[in-house]
Amino acid sequence: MRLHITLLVCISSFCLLDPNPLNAQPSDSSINTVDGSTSTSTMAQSLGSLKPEIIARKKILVYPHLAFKDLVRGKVRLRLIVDSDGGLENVVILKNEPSGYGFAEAAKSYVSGFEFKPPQVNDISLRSSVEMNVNFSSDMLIQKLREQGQYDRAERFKKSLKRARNGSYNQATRTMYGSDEDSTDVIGLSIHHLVDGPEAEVLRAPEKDFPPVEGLVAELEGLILEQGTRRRIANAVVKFNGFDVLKNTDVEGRFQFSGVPVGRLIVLVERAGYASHSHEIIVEKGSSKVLRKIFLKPLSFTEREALGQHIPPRVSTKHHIQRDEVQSIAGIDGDPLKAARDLPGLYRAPFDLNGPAATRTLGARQWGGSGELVFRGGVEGGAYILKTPMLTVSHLNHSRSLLPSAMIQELSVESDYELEVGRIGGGLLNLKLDKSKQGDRKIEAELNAFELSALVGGPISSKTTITAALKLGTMRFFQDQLDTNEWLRYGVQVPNSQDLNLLFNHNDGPHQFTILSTVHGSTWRDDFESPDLIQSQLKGDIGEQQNGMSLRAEWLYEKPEQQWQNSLNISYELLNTQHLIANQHSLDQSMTQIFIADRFKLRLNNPLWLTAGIDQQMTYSYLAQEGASLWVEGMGRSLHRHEPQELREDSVLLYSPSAWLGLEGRWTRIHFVLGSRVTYWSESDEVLPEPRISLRYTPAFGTILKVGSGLYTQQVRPRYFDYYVGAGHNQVGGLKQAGIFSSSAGVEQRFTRELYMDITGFYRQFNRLLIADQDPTIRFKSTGEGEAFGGEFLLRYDPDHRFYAWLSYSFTRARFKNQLDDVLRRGDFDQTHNLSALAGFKLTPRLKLNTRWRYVSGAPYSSLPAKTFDSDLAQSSFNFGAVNLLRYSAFHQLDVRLDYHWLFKDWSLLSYIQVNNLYNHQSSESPHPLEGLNTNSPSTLRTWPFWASLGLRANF
Amino acid sequence: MKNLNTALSIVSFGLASLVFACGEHVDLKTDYSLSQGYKVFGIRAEPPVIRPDEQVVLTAYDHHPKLSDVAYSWSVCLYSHGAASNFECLRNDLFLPLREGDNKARVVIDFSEKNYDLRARLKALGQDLDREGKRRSLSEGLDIFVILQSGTSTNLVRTVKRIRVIDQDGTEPLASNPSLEQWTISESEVVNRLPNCNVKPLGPESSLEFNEVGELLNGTLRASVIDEVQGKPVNSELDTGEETESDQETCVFHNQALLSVSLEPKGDYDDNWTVQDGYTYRWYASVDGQVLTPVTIGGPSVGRYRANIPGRKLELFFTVRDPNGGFAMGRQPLSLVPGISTQ
Repeated sequence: MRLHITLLVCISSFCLLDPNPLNAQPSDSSINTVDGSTSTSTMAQSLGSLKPEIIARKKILVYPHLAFKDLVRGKVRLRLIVDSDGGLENVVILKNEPSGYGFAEAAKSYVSGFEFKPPQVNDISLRSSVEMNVNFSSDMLIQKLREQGQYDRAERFKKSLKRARNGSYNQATRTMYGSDEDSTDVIGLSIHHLVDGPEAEVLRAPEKDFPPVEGLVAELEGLILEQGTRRRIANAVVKFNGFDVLKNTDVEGRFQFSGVPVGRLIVLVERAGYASHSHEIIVEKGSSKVLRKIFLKPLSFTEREALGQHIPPRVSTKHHIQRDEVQSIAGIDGDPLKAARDLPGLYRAPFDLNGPAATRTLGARQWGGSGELVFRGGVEGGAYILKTPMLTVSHLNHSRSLLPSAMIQELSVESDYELEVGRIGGGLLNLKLDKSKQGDRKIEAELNAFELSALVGGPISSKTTITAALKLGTMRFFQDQLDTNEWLRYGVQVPNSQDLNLLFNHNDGPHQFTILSTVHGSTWRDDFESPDLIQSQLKGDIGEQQNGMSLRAEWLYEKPEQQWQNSLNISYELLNTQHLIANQHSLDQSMTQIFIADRFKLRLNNPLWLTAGIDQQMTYSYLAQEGASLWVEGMGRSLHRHEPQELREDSVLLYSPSAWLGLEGRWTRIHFVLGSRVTYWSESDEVLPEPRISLRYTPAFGTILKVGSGLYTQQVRPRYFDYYVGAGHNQVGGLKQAGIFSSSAGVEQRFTRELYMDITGFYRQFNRLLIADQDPTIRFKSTGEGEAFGGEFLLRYDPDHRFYAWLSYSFTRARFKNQLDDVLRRGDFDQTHNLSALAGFKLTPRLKLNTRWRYVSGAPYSSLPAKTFDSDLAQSSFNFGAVNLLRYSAFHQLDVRLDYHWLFKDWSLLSYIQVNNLYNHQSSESPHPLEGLNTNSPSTLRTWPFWASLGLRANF
Repeated sequence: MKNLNTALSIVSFGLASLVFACGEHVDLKTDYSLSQGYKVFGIRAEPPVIRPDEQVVLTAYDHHPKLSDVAYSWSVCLYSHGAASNFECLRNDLFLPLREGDNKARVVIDFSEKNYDLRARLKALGQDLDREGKRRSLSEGLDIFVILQSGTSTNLVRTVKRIRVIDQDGTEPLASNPSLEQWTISESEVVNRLPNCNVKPLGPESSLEFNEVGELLNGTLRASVIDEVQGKPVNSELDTGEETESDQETCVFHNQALLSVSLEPKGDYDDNWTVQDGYTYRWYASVDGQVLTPVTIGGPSVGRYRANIPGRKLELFFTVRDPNGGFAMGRQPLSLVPGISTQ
């Protein structure tokens, strides 16, 4: 508790120190005089009494595309600053509702076509201002719909407006927002108001081009970029020495002059927060000249970084981590999947070198593909990319994820109750690929203790972009250089790993094609000598090998005018795993998975959407096993078997076609999803419905109340069907599909633009779980029951220009029983406390300090009271005693990372030092895979001790 | 250029010191002791396969610094699910009551009809399904389970041994145990008792090193095992590559296992498999009769012992198991010579 208070105080202190980071930016003094600040109130009053007169409107008001697509109305209030010559000097956005639809931009474009007559006093023209509203009304929408021939839709829209005006709900809306026209169908309007706020005032200086002159002139254009990052700088001022000319760069960082006189000119570039730049250029006789890119050097803390500012609609809090954040979090070496542990919901993901979930379940989970994640409540979820499930997400021992962080835009723990994805047990880690803007080339190379990675990407045509990424594991090299045996003590069999990813993007109008191809391989092998082993006397080669490939494709077709979209997603994935223990036990497994889904979304009327789709998941598993079997299975039941030595081959094909239909309602305050999936499961020969509902309600600014419930099930792991450890094919008939009823309720609250909180409680009920049976003629039966409940808490301060922090905490109880009349016992994934506290500070513009502290309750394990020596097989076998009665010691660790940026002209270098486990706490994480089950006090894998590494990352 | 040099310096520095790890040193080569006290090497059943009315002699091969302190308790169960159920007897009525006094390392159990009527009871159990879903059959063989609880009051060990019972006519033994023929600490020798049962010598030639006073310092031991398997002669290749059918009645199969014993910790060894399919060898060693350490995995291995500790005695144990449940064990003491090495 003391820690919580300290962190809260810490976060609060930073809020107080810098309540509005935007104000910390150096600003143009000429603009400050009219920005409404107290110091300029006198001037503002004098300006306010004398207003300019609009004498001409040269541009028409264009309805923003996105708003028109969603039939959203908007309102923008502007203050126009008019200079003494009648020119529009500046535009200040006072109000923009709802934001994010382009209303402000459209209004600014509209008023930029105004011509003014300045007010005069004693024949002296004065600088002045005027405020005005620009309404994007329903009439404009209806007119535009009719112009496009969408008469039916226009009529439906009119009727919906009429109904809404008559409804009692909108009376409340009018009270809240002042006018009916402010109503919108975007839930989270209030959130966006807080998050985005009125847009920052546009510090655009009045532009002046070269006056028309006789003689030799040329056209001139250029691009302004931030030094080191190559970010495009908007609103930079470009001038020429000796000329009264000025241009602002656009949002793409571009500027253009015409009528530039031929000769030697000195170009000046200025932008708040950057060092002024000047250099001489020679303009030659000719039609046009394209300047080389001009790089501006950041002077102080750069502007608000792009970290974490994207807030999806209809949420108040952010449950995703963006690439930039992943690449700076301490203790994860830039690995995206390791960052996922620091979010609530995904309370235990085995993305660690010796994560308990990985090694405790040495066996089925590891060999069955490592794509499974453990979500809150002790059930397994899945990772999706391009809306297709991933069979594997990481290399052996979960040392590194397959995808490099540079290729990922963000990862998020998706909320439950989605209809579009099934078979995931109720949780989903969604990996979104980076889709760079057209025209941006991207080159990144990184070397750290774990890997050498490189990424090259860029356009090959105006519509097509290709990105390739290569990753090579380096830790094995260091492991070999150092003492391998010592590393083994920590359960670290870091593999040699290689993976190659190829990403193809093609956008052609409403069509978007994305293809991701991945080839990966990893292997480790050691000569292991330890006589005190579970198989009595084990020595020799021990190792694992994993390789595979995947091909995923998405075809997204979106037709905004007709308000529907369709996406087709296909994936093929192959995963081969070989496992060898001392020439006595070998296991080869090959898994192939094909997934195909078509998802369709149609807007029925203003608030209602129809969502429907079909999908099919096919999994083929081939398994060849020889030698004594070692298997410890989860699902709340630990089991260990030895079998006679004989080669056995098994294969199984599972398939589960599914269809779903749902209704989604999007009102101003309410958002709901109601629907059901229906799936046929080949393994149990059952057809099961999975109804789901979720409801989000926005009672006040920044507040969302949420509640949801749903049924989930997923494919049975193929290893349940193999001869040695599974049910075997003869027993498939009695199998039933496990079901999970999941429900949760919570509140999301945003306090400021950066600070927000999420509290969610959940309850899950499990039934028909597969339970091992001692009778060899039965083996497994679907009689398991269980429940899980707990709460999650997230308090997060999004990155401002010098600080970010978040606190994530999960409390969980997960209990299971073999059958209805048994007593509930602790589940394998029962993890009482799971806490992550992260913070980052920008000490100087170049120097960043990132810290992370984690606390995780020890994983449960079972005592081993009964040991029998098999005289015929010369090996010992164990039966677990009270299942999961004991716990390993709690894990806690402090990681620190120091980043320093080196900025060069058109590239940057990041050097970082990472110190893990700063105070060298070593907890027992899991049983040693070879020794751990020998005694009642099993030897355990410990967490890594204190260690440090350096890393380099270059961006070109 | 200045920037480039700076960058190169950074890169060089980064590469040079990319990783430095600090941690407590752990030596996995530290000697592990399988048993500081009591160890059961195995149970030998004579014969290993019986008819329902035959008798079987069970012998526990074990190790303890003071074997007189060890107590033994035998039981026989007619059906168990095996390792999956920790070899628990399926029902209490499936236990066979043993005679009083069967509390020694060696017991004799007579399964004759007047004692247990094993045939009738097993036939009834044979109606159960095996894990493949097939009917079990006494004529093809059923396993009964011998369970031994042995050890001292503080170190009890539970050991299980399957005895295959086959209802088959005749009086000849259905199978026999292997026997240990000899220990060889000398040149490799081809062990062929009969010319037409030509077994190719396995493994490399033995190598020996002696110290100045002629005692063994570094050597390779070969244990030759005789195993007579009636009706299943061993085919082997002659040097000419031709195969010869051996005499079923008289063929004796000689199997060999190597143990490389390095009395100095630096000695290398060769990996050479000498294990025939279905055979399992185990080597153990004890120092001064106290600590028992396994030194092999399946076939070849190496044990490293510091010979420069005066007065220590090394004893080697060897066990062999054949595919029919046969078991044999032998032991060989060696003298360690302190402090002298030819290397």
